[in-house]
Amino acid sequence: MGSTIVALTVATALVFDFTNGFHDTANAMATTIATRALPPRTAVGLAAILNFAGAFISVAVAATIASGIVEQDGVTVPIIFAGLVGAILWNVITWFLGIPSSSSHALVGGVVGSVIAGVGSTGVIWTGIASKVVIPAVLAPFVCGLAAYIATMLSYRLTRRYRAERSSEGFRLSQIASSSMVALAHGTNDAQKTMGVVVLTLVAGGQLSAGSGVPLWVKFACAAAIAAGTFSGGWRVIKTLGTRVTEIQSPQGFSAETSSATSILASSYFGFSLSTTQVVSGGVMGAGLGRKGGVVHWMVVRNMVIAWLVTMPAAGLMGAVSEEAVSAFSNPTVGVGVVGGIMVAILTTFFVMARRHGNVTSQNVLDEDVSTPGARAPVPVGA
Amino acid sequence: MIAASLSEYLPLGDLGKILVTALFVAVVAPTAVSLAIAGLDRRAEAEEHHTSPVAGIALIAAGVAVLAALIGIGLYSLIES
Repeated sequence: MGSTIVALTVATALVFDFTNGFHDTANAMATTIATRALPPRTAVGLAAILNFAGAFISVAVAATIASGIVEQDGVTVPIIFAGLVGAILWNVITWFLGIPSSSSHALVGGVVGSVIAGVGSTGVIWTGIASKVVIPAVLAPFVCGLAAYIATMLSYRLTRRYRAERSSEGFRLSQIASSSMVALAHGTNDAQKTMGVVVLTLVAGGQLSAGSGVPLWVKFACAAAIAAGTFSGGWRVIKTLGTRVTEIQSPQGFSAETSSATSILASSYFGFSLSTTQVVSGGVMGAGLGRKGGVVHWMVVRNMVIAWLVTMPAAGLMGAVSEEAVSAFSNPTVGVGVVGGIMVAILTTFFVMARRHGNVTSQNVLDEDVSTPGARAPVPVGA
Repeated sequence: MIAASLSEYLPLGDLGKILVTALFVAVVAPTAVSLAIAGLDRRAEAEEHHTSPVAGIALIAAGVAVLAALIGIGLYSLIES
């Protein structure tokens, strides 16, 4: 396989890693920013540093992605490229809409879709998809939501006799620690997923032998890409998770982030690779319900859940279409170049549209009068 | 039947351990923070009444120590995983 097509695919993987970073900044820092525990720019800066550091801690998840989701034998570099295109497009669409969907599921969906289009359904390890992606995706938000609900109730009960500003300050300081743990765990989990894809690409392209470890330059490149994406700040998703699901106070932010960090770290310890987005979203919902008088905006939650359900099939469809488009060219390098060019044009369009329609920045992320297309003014339905 | 089907794809024992861990931390972490907040409150009162702040400082230290232990366990599990 030519080195040009391998280089293009690795570059596309790093673009995905960047979108993963800016899409998922909200996971660690949305509640921290919402409760003003840290200024927005400081929060995303801290998350970027911890994502970078987290990427070097472990490579277990990279191995899962490289070998546990699709059969390595039938996978070619153009197929991986097409899968990445599907994942990137879905990430950018959901970012534009301000919906916290799972980047991990977009990646798995995109690769599975392109593999089905390229080699058929036999190229997919369906038991791996069920045990490593689907079942954890269903269970994780409930586990984290329950823990956050209990933690929030306890937080308010145990501190009700103290002055509000003192307890608020205590929880704000603790929240910095809990959200930092989420950022570190996110770097460990999500940067590794891209490392796994890059390793898969290098193996498929003949640059690396099957079963090889993750080269240091791959670790560094993936860590840098996810950190850069995180630092750019996915303000649209931060706005939804931090202000639109529920009105978050510092005890709730602490409870949501602590429960999320615990769920992610305990799951990683037992070998499950969770979507940090779904875990944190479950935690925010649980924290919203745990405060007396707290209101969860179920219309926003409904949009999020729909996005979760649609993510894998939609990214898979985009991956499959990309694979068909690449394979329509007799020279795969030309096909990858053309599809890559179309992807860049689509991404540019979305970024321009985002600037024109409700441009959310670090300055206005907490303003109520700025809205994104996918998360309009919430309708409170229940407590 | 659902549990039996689920156990084919997911070790239910591990799932139970994850749930227990999440619930354990959901109880311990807010308790630790509330200890520290109580300590801050007592220390402030001691300053106001010109009495010894030792009890307040001890509560703050206990709360921070528990939180630090939780962070340590989290980092350990991250490295071990």
